[in-house]
Amino acid sequence: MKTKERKQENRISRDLTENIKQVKNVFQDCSDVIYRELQLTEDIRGLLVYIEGIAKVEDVQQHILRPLIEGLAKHPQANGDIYPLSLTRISLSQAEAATDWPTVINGVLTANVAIFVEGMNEVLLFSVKGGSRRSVQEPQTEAVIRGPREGFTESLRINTALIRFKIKSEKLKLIDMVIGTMTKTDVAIAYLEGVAEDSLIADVKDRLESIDIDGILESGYIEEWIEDNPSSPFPQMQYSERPDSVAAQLLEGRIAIFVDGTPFVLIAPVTLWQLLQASEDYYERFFISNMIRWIRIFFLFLALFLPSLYIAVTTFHQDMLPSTLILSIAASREAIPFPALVEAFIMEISFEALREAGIRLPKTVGQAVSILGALVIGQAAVQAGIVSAPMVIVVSLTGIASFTIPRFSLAVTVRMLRFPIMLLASAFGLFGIVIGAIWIVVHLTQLKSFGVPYMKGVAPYEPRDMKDIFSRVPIWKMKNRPSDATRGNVRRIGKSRPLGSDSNEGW
Amino acid sequence: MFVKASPALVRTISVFVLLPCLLTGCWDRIEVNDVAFVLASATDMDQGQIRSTTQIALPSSLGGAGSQGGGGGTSGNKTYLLVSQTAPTAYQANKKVQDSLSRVINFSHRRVTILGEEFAKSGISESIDIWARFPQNRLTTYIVLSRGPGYKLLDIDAPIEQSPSEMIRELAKSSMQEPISIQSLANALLTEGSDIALPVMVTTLSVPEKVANGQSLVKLDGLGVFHGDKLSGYLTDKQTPMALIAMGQALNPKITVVLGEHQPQESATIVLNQIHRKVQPHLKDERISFDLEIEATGLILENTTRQSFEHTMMISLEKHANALLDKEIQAVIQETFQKHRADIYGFSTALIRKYPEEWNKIKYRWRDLLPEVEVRVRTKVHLENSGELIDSLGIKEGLLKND
Repeated sequence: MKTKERKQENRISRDLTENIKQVKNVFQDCSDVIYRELQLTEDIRGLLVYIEGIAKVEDVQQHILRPLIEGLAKHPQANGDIYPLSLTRISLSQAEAATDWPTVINGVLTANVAIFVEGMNEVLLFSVKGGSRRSVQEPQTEAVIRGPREGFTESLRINTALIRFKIKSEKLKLIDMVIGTMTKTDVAIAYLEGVAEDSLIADVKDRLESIDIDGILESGYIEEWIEDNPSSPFPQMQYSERPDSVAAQLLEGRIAIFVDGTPFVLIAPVTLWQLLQASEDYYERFFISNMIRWIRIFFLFLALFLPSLYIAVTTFHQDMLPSTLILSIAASREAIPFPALVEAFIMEISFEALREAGIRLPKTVGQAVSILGALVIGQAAVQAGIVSAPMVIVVSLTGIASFTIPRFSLAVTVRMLRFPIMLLASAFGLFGIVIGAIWIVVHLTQLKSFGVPYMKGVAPYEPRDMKDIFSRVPIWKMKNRPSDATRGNVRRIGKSRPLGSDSNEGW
Repeated sequence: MFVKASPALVRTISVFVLLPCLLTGCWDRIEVNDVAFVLASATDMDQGQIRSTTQIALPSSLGGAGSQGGGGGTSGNKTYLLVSQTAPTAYQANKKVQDSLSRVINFSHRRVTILGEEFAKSGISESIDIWARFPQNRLTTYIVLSRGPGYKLLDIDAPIEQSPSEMIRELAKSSMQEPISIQSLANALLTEGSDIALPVMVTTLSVPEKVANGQSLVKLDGLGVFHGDKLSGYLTDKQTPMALIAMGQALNPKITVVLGEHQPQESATIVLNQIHRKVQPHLKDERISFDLEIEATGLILENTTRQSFEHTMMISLEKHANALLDKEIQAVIQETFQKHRADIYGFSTALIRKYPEEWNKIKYRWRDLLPEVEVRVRTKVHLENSGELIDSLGIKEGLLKND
């Protein structure tokens, strides 16, 4: 009974004055809502409602107001039947009619123009999305030397268009969703039909539908809500600002989640190896990419273990270093008041603080921070005898190593994990480091991202994935898509590249 | 919003909370500035007791970057500290050394150890026991012999290196192809029939006193020949390269060949770069003999004769060199066999391999049989070129005939 009543209440009334009263009541104290009264025919009046700033005012004027006024001038008496306004007068493509208040209000809030017509219990909604948004710019987070320079923006449709520019196939599907009871954020799931697995798509859809929150301001809200293991330090989704990177992942059978209002697009599922790949790996010739990838993997280990190794070797296993090296370490540690662990913690934490300070500050101040940091941490601390020179080298090498990891989220994870390993190293020496490493490996083998093992390719071993894990074989040798996402449509190369060039000989 | 913590979470958190408690007593943890690194050690016999002398690095005076606190004091500018103690056994002596030090002694960076003459004469096997027992002792530590007490070698100036130990080590390294380390010493002592020869070092002054105020250094001075685990005697500086050639351990030996019978200053010095050695044991009617074939290639280093060596003249030089080597090697082998009754050349190994059964019969008499063992040495030296960049000032062969 009550619901019926409410339904009745939600209905648009045929009485225009009633509707005007209602709409002004809903948007009370919303100074950005614009009301414009219309004279559709000589005796039919109407009301036009839109929100300034998010709607394109030129569209409203050119394609709604002007034809209506001109139409009124030409046919002052349209026989009262002007209902198919969208067909007869208004030159806008996206139009719909609504009969209940929630749809109308929602429509107005999502950059539609609502037109109330006297004597009609339907409201016409025309999409006039506009307002100023950042244009397509070079991505800030994933710079490349070679590769496309365009990056995603905060506007969902521009972002999906950037993907559509790259993948011109009807197989590229976009499923829209609205998440957030207050923010009503548009979210789109993108995938390639026939390449991405159906169960994966259904899984992602389910997980997104389960989100019940007032606002989604960034894709990070969604990531935290739908990832498999929230208590794992490892990122289980990848985010990217680069359309080429997202397109490549879609071609490998993964899905992308676009969120309106952020340039960061989520990609799932993800493996550890994928987080060690940069888009440029595939744009440079494979010799270069291979070498860079090996350096990256080597430095990943350095970033994780170098300070702990230093602590373990200098406090437990002095036998392991060459005599001259241990003597020179001993010489520089002679005047240091702290044990190696405390020294390492002081340096590592101040390095983290320095890095954090550098990110948040405006660029002009940031330079001052880096000068201060270099002077204080680098030189003065050594000269004052607070930290030893080898420790400064170790910490800066670790810092550099962590910056070689292409994905910031993984780099932070590695930087975080090295603190417990340092503790283990100072308590148990190399034995502790081994314990820590085993702990991490056990965790990684258990971790899954959308049902895909985090170390897929290595554990469980998948020979064909090896082509793109520790090495990057030439593009024409990568005949199959990676196994972690696609199980059905595997082949990505039709005909192999002919080797040699007999046909061109003797030109 | 409070969620009831799961047992797993409680466990994880308690691990993190309890872990720092373990840090208070990290059993093996020792900071690098609480360690005394032994660079070299010497073992001597001192009035019936073993004297252990250790050379300990002083990092603060090694002058690493950032080490502000100076060493200095009474030790002057020395980069090391000598600590010496006596005790009935080597281990007890080391223990006493530790008792007089504020830092924990660490032997893992000892790269050379010195045996004093008197100690070596009394037998070295008991000291090997502790070398092999403690993992801190590197098996690659070189062993050298000192003429006189070993600790003398540790207190030289050796300004050319960071510490005397480094100089002794580098010299030991250059003494033979595979310098004797703890590992090879133990192997040789455990091998039936074979004996060891250790490089001998003595202290010396960098310049004679009449030239200037010199600084003390060490130098190589022949080989010490062991009979079993006891030092038996020395080979001189001149005999050493010959013995090393026979052992197959020579490292670019330089040999001076006297050519003019009448004028001894007319000589040529050659260096042998590649030496191949072949031992052929023979056993006939209880008589043991060996054929030692040595093939070597070399260069001419110095020529003080009036002749210019061209291709034809090289052959005559080679002949002289062969004869010299045959004679000298024969002499040094006979000396070690007869005077020291020691087989430092590995002949017994060749004999064991060829006549394993007969060896079993003679192995207990082997060292007594040595003086009667005959060794035939045949040397083939091949000089590859005269080593000249410009024409020699010597007289050409053709002119020599007319002379």
